[in-house]
Amino acid sequence: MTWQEEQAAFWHWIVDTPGSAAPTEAEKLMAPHQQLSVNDALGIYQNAYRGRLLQAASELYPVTYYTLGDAAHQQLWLGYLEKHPPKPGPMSQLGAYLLTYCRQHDPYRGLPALLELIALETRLVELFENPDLPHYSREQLQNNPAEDWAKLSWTDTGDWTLMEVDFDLETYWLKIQDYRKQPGAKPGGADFPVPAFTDQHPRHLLIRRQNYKMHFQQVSPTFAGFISLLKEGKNFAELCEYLSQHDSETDVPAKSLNYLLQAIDLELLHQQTIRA
Amino acid sequence: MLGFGLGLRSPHYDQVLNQQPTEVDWFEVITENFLAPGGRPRAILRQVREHYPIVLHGLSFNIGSDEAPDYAYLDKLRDLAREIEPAWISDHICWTGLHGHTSHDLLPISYNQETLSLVADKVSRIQDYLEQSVVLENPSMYLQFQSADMTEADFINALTKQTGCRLLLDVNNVYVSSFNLGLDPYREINAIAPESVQQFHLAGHTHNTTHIIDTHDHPVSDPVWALYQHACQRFGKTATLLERDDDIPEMTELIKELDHARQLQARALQELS
Repeated sequence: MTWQEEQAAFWHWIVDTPGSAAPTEAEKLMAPHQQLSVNDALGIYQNAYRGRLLQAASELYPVTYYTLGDAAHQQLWLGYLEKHPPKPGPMSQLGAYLLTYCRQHDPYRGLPALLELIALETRLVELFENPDLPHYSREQLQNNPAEDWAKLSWTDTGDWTLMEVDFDLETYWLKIQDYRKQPGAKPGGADFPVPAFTDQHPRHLLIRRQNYKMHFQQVSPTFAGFISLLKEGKNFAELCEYLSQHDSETDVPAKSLNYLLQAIDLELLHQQTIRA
Repeated sequence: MLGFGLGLRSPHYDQVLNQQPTEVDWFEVITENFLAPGGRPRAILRQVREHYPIVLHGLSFNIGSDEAPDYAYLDKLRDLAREIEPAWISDHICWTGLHGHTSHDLLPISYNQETLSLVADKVSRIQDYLEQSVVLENPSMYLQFQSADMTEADFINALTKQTGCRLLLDVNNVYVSSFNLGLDPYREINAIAPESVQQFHLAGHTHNTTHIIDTHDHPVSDPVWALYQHACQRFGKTATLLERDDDIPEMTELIKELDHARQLQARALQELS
């Protein structure tokens, strides 16, 4: 047997068949241990593999973990990892396909609040690691001659995103954080649900990183559309046109400027400006 | 010689940055936690680097696999190294993945000529790409392959000689592996070529009567301290790093352990002279 074949067999025992007894072929490959059976020794590697991934999952998706509790969390992740074994790269990418997996599998696809939580935490992980880019400032905006404004466009900092949500994740997030600080708090122990919006939904949630901390807040549909277009690189004239289509009653140039200033104050724009 | 360092862990970030403890000479960081170009970890590392030497300790070289080096990973590592200027870059004598998947865990190699050739080739390719020699750590072992016909020490000695890489001698791992595989840890230490050792690791383990697991969740055990003192006598003045990855205590506790290591190494060197 070549080393590659030995590795393939070893991999199969610890990754593909977790928890099962090692086949007799293992006895032929592994030297006898003084006090441990080959099966038990392989079990140490099996447990280490699964334990490390479950630990990482609970750290990457802490609110999902505290919502589900240990048993359900383990069931979710072991099922997911069987379909999507980890690939080389940062451990933070462990859940890259978790949302897709949950949307396709029972019972998760029937749990919309859980799907939104997973979507939120996946985005937080992504945003957390994006490069730190300098922000565009009001001063930079003022330095542009008035005749250039219509053709100005911007790039985003890459540390924010938008989500459409049917549940009040912001409130739930804060409640879970408070719960985790309580003595005796344990995963799965919180007795409050993820509150659903009963009136107007979906709502638009702006998720952004500032000073290495994640923030999220609800924004109006019009503002969400405006900053989505900013992200796409639309110029100021196009942004004004968008607003005129969505809110024709107002002073469009003034409102566009107001929205643009809000985006600047929220540090959503990269220092680099593009002139067409 | 770097002196006596600690593994940098997130519960201690604020204390390290605000108090800059002088009892710690350097920090070792888990490379993979700092590869992302943005975010808090990288910013913290930059700040820590202003005050301390840093060693990058990774888990992704996957040198026991015949798959090509992960150049995307090596590119990020090279970028990180350019920015942080680590004292050296280390990883493990193990394999971590197969067929495009990773275990995020350290899996054992069968020590024989076939794997030595494969590992040496991979280490050389990695070193060429990084344009520097690397330091590799002996892993903790829970079983051996029937196909192994070399001791770990013979394998390491040949590997360091063939590639110019150096050894990160994890004293706790020697103890854990020796117990689990029925070997004499002192004999294992004595078989390592003295000139190959760049650094020591110290850590705690969990003793389960029939076997020991390398858990890094306890203080260093007395038998490992004794083995460390022996290693200091054999290898001389060597940079030493205390690891703790679970049940992480206050930093003052770790500093006490680090002071103990410092005293043991000084005593060993005194006995040598």
